[in-house]
Amino acid sequence: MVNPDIDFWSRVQFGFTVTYHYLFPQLTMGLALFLGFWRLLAWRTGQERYRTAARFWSVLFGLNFVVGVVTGIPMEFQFGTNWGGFSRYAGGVIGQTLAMEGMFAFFFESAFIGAMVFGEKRFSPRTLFLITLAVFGGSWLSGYFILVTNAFMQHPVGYSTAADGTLHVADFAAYLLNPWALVEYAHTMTAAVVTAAFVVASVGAFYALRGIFTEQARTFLNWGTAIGLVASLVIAFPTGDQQAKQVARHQEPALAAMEGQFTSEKGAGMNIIGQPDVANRRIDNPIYMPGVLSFLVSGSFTAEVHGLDAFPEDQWPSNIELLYYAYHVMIGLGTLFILVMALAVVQRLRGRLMTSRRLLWVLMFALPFPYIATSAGWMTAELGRQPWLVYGLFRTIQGQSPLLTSGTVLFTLIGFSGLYFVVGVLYLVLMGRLILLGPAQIHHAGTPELGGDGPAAGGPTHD
Amino acid sequence: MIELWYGILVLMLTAYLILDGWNIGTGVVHYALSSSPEERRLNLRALGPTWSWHEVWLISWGGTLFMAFPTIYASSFGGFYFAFFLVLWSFILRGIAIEVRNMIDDGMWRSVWDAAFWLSSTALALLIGISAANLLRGVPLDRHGDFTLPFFTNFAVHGAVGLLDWFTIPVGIYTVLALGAHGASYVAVRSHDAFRARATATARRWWLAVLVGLPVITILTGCVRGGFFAHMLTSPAAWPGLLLIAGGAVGLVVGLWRVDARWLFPAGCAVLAGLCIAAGAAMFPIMLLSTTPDGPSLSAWSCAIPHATLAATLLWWGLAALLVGGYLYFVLRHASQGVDSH
Repeated sequence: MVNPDIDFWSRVQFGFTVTYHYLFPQLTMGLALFLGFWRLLAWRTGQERYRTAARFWSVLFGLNFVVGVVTGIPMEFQFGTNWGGFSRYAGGVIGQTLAMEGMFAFFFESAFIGAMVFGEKRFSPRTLFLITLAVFGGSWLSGYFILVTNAFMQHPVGYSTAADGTLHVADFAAYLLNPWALVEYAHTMTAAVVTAAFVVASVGAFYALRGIFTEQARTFLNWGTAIGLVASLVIAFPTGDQQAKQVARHQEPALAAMEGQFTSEKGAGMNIIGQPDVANRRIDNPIYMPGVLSFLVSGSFTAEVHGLDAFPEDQWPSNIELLYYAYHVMIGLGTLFILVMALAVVQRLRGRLMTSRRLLWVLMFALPFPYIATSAGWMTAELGRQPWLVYGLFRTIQGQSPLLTSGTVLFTLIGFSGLYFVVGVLYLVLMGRLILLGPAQIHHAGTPELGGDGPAAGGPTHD
Repeated sequence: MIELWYGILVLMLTAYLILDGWNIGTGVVHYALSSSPEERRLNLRALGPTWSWHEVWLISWGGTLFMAFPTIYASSFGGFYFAFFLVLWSFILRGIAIEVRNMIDDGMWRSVWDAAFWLSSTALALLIGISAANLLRGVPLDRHGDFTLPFFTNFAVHGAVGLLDWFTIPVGIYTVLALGAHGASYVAVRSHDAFRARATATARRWWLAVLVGLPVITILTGCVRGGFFAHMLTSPAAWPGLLLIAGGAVGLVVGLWRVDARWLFPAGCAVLAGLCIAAGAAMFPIMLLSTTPDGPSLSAWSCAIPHATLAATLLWWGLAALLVGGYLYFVLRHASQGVDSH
């Protein structure tokens, strides 16, 4: 019944489609925060530059949102199509939050999104702010329900086991307020803000370097770097720190693998770099900070940290190398984000940000890195959870749909790859066009091309 | 309690079919209704900015099915593997087509996305019809309650059946006709002048075909699933559906006679809703009918989560449904404002 091939391809397919999907919602959620601030300021101060910024980014937001929606539907379907064993086992619990996401968050969010993107001329600044707030609330609520679902897989709480072995909700409050979910939510949402901050700053840097839309470039750079610095700090401490402590408490083998800690020791050091050599159970060529891992985990430089040797091998994460590198990529990039954003804020306070061309180049090309860091972070979480699908209760290999064949899954995976390639090219080309068009054009012509006709506009254009 | 959740799922799917049905139908008749790029522009414009709101009904339906009947969800989504992935890809293509068509002002660009819009919408209508027909006909369940459907086997409706057979293909085509008719009458009530007249004429032709086809599909269903209509007539939950079908059919005849989309559109909605409700009620409590002797059918009674959880869930679900009603009001008001600005 259990077929490792199907397990492998189903995992690749889910991993690929969810990683691809999440490129879009992270910007949606982070950008919603920026839009909320700008709409608030546009309403309270009446300043045109905030209106322009909100209008411009709303249009980009709209395109990003649609791609997020269409790539999101396959996620819910795949629980049934590929992970039928898991759905049968845990559907009584995780079905709750997936249903809640649809009923509470999606209806809320998508009801107002058309109004937010195309309601510029129809609604007052105050109404526009409230509509944007609704979109913000909907998208952040949606994120919470998904993270509760994930948190249950990482650290199951609030459930009971029925006679047939399936899981059911025993305590709604415990399930919805899973301590794992709260920490994970803070960490993930901050990461979404980091992504949006880098995107906003990157577009600002592009305009500043070309010497176009100077007024907007300054707004984007100031806001992107200010919020970016705060979020980059918060993502490391306290949220990242708490997340690591949580893994140390509940997923000890995962933490040991992330850190490359093969043997238990007192006063364990933290590896900055070095290559895990799983066959010989050691880190090759490490550079490490003595005692730091013990300190981070338990607050004492001499405390004992369990290494992988403390656990039976069938509880080790199934791909230790990838887990180790994903974790270190995330940490390394996170550190660089703080440096870049801090430098930018310092230059801004000295009044030199708009003229620091080298820094502007860095900011512009920093664009992909928050996406990479977020993806690496999720790989850390999900590879660390292995070999469990529901940690400590249900193994990943038990989760597949019983009658699938690996060829079938490979076929649909290839289909997704092709389709998502096309979607990605379209997204980049169209985003690029909108950015080149710039805030001023969208301002004066009332979203040309997008405007006059079509469902995207549908709005009040009298042509 | 289980009847209630089954009913909620039927009603959510009905809402989806009517609301997103007019978007899909608009795509189905994209060429039948519009002969020039200008008309295709007007046709797409009828969708309004809130078209993606309607897709949420399907997503929420999926979530609710997963929550209340996880066994059915796991069995059917795995069994309809290829069909559902084709549905997913059509959804993605359709969403992209609608959104990007007007982003570049170029005739060839728009032609490509017009074709993609028509193709993905037609594929969606066909797949929805075929999936519904598979539920009516039954699926080859094994003794664990799992199944897998090849695209086709011997086109017969018993035993080791496939996705396509002499029953599911006609129902799929019929669904394309019905959603196309629905879409055309929707476009008609949302447009003006010459284009409205043209949309009304298309809606008339398509609705006429739907009315003529209804007895055919009814007879086919009766042949494939014995006792289906007897069960429908004796279960009170199906009666509102039958009333809607009868009332809607009368309304359609009036609309056809008067050449008036203001009759055709609501009457068409009533017929579609009635068909969903009556069929849903007649199938109850069987959620997945078995076509093979070795696997028993899966019924709502045996596949639901515990009673107490369903009851507790009703609390938050009821609250959410009230909120959804509020957004529905906002969306429809917002969307109808869009029409006035032609």
